Amino acid sequence: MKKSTLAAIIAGNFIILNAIIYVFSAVRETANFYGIMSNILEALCAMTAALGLFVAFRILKKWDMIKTSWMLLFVGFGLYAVAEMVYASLAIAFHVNPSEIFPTAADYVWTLGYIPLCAGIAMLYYSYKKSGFAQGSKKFYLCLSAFLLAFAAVLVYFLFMPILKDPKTSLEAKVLYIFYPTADIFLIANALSLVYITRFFGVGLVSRPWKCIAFGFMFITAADVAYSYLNWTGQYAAGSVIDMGWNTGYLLIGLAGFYQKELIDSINSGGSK
Amino acid sequence: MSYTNPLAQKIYNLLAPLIGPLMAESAIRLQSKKAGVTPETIAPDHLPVIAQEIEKAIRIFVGLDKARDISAVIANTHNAVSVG
Repeated sequence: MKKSTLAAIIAGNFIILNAIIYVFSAVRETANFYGIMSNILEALCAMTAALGLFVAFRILKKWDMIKTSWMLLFVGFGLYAVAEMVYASLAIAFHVNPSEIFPTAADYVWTLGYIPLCAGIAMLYYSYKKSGFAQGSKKFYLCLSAFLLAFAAVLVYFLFMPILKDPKTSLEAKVLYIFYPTADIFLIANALSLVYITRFFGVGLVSRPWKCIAFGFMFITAADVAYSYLNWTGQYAAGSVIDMGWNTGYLLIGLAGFYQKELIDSINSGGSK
Repeated sequence: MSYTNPLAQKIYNLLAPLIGPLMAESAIRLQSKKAGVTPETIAPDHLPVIAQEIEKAIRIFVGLDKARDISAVIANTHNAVSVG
């Protein structure tokens, strides 16, 4: 069995486990156990993402823009994995409810993680623009810009403004509540462009890692936006359905790394099957 | 996609499984244009230029070293065609 297939099966089982945790935490009144399970699962999924990206980074031998992009993605998700472990430790070892105390130490690590992630995905997209391959129609990019502007306007009106006006929320928390979705808009702009571009590659082997990265970022962004809203309104708790968004995103990103390795191995073996 | 020019066909057969048939066709057309020919008029003399351009394009997916390997195969395609 190929390593990427095995990774996909494990990822699928993680998501099923996540769904079970969610269902049980929803029906049981004592959701603490399932919250802890969910925290552990998130840390595991983030570690899987970092591992997959490390595998992809290592398989590329010569330093160039592409190896640098994979390295930045690895560093970004490595920091995410650290943040998830800090978050889980706070909840499990120190009996702190991180969703009640915001921001926590984990939030600062996540914030730091955005820097290499944004740089990495922007470099990937820039490299593609320089490659000379099909860029797609201007109409798509106009629609994408319009969609992102509308999305930003909705966020500003329904999320940012009420958060900024809320006297109970500290300045630190306000900055972070606004930072996550704002940085996500940047990530999703690049991710949606990648999703669009990968359509041109059909079933080509190169499309798999890119598709996984693009869809992975989309899941993470959707979960981040939902988290900012639910946590601010006090409706978020570990084991929530949005945890599945993060976990699916993490696992897709991890898979991207394994698919990248498979692509390089395929070239090494002299065939592109 | 099938070309009457065996050189173009060999390049296509190499690229299509990797970047998909649509992009392979587009890459051959674009890079041939840069070499001042069409896919059907690619001659062995054009291969180094086409190989170099394809290397620049695909390095984003497979990295510099593997792109160079593929480029070397394309640059030597005429040997494979004349032998096989």
